[in-house]
Amino acid sequence: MPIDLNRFIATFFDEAQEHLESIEEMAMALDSGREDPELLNSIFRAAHSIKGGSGTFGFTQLAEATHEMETLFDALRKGRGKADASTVRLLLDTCDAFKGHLARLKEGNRGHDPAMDAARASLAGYRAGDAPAAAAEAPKAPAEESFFAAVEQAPAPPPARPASEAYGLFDAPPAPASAAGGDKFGFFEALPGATASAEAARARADQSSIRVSVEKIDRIVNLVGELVIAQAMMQQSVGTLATEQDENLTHSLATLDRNTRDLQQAVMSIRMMPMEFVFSRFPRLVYDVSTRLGKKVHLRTLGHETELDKELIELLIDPLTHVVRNAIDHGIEAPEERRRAGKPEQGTVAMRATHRGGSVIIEVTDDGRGLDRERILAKARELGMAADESMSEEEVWGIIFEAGFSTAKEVTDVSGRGVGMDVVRRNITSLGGNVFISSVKGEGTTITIQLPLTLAVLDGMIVSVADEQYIVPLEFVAEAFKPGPNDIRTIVNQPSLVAVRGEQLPIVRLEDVIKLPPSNAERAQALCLVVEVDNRRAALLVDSLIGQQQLVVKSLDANLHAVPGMAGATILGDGRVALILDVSAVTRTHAARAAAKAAA
Amino acid sequence: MKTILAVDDSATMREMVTFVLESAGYRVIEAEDGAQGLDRATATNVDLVITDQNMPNMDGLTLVRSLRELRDYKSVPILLLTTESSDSMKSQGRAAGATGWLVKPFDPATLLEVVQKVLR
Repeated sequence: MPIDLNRFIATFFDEAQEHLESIEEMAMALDSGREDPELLNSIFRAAHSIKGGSGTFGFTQLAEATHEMETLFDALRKGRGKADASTVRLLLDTCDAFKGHLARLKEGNRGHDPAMDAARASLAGYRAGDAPAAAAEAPKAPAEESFFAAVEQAPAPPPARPASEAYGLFDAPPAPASAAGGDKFGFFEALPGATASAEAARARADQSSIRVSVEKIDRIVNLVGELVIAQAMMQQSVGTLATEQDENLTHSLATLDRNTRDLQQAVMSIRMMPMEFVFSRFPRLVYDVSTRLGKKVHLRTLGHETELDKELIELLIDPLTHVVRNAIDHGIEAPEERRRAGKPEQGTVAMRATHRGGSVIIEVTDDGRGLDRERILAKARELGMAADESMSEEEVWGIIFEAGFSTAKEVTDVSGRGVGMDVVRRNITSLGGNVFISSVKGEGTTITIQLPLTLAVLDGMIVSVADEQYIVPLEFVAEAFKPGPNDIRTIVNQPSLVAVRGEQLPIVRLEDVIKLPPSNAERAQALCLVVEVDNRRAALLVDSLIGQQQLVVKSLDANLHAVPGMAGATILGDGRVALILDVSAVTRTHAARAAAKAAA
Repeated sequence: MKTILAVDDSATMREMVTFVLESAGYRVIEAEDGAQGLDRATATNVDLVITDQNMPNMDGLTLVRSLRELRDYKSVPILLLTTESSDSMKSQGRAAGATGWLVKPFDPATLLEVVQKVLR
């Protein structure tokens, strides 16, 4: 029978990956000192499952190494030997090797993997040293050959083991030539007839879920985006005409509008993934980092089921990893320091995800030493940054997000790899989100990350500048107003500051952000759009506001190339393409200019 | 059309068994562990049960024993999928009431051969 291997291999890879992750998770639970026989059982079962699958596909090295792991845990679960911190280390290290090996296999690299030899040897060695009795009752080694591997390499009939070893019916006559039996399968007693009633009244058990490739979903998301745009265009061009002439058409258009929106939401929900996906990788990180630093840290994660767009989930992992590393490295104190402070030796890092309005809020809280206001200010002055005693807490914590800032006395190999909180903030802001800090000295720190639910649609303010339309994401717009002639203070022939209820805001011209030739258009009628991002406010000068609209975001990188100052593009109802402003670039432009002026 | 219940905690194995058997014209119902297998078997009458041995939430031997206690499953054939064909496995399987056993990894032809044999 011709078998399309890829059909099953993808499932196997997913499954093996899941098993490895759960082994890691359980390994770390082993170290918590909890005596739980079910834990040992589950690790045994997971290793066993990977072994079974890899044997089937002829992934010999993986089958052999997981066989060693299975053997070790078979011994442990039967009370021979005891799992301790070294077992955990062994498991985590070998899981790393297995993951690396899986990645190679996924890329189609079936070559010999030396890392797997090492993993297998350390598992076998550990067993030999710690639980010698285990070897005696070890389950049989995995099959040395497999049908599927054979199919893949040659179309010839598989050199499968003789059928006489493959199965058996327990009470079949011992060895008639016609009866399959022996060691591969067997029958226990005379074959019972199938029940006649079985064929009646049955329904296929409903499948609760199906696997669909991400590409397929992205294609649907894209098509629905196009549909939304087409619908908006139709609405715009037929709308006025229809209301006057045809009630049916008006009605149909309204229905189409509603259904398109529902469809869009439904499609977006397919792309949503639970935060579980992100959280699941942190126990390992916390374990590794805290062991390396000699700290005791307990990780709590809350809100696993909170959903977020798949794309955001992937982009969130790096910044969140950095925040958690920081919390352990700089936040949580060493055990003796905690004891002196009257705290439990084990610190806690809690990650919590919740939905709030159209946003996802992710908080990372530690119960460590908290931020030190004086030290941050001192360090900032040392670095020549603006810092003085009158700054509010919020402003002082904000310094941490500035490029090049780090108060750690020494750069450790854990946090200090040149990636600072400034990168975290830039990453989050580029996703249309925000980062906040709150901290109490001696009690701990909370980093709050706020993100939109999706990157695929956004609510935008359409503005007009020099006869072109641009989109400003609504979440960054604080207000819009028309300045009076006395509100603007001109410096060197440029309107550079505007007073907003007593506060002086820098004025940013779009020309400066995206390097348009300076326009000579009459700006007497200009409006100021106050935008706020990363705690920086600026007044963007625009000619007029056209309206608010929900927009489908098109990537510039994917369709053209990255354009500085622009976060993407969209197609408006009239069919015109409009660029979406990167508001953080707007505020940064001002900061850069201010710095340049200061230096001059 | 004969219906076969395939019980395995490994999605890979379930997919393979289902694919092979459906290609041969059988109807296949899947279950992810022994407990779910028992649920599915009680909800629908099946002609053959193929179950993995090592599973969370009720292992294969317990599933076999539980099925044999049900009136509808006194004589329905049940095959155990195992990674070993030791004597102790065989005596345990026989005692639980299984009809036969099949060693993993298996090739599709062997799976079909044993299935056709028990369903004949």
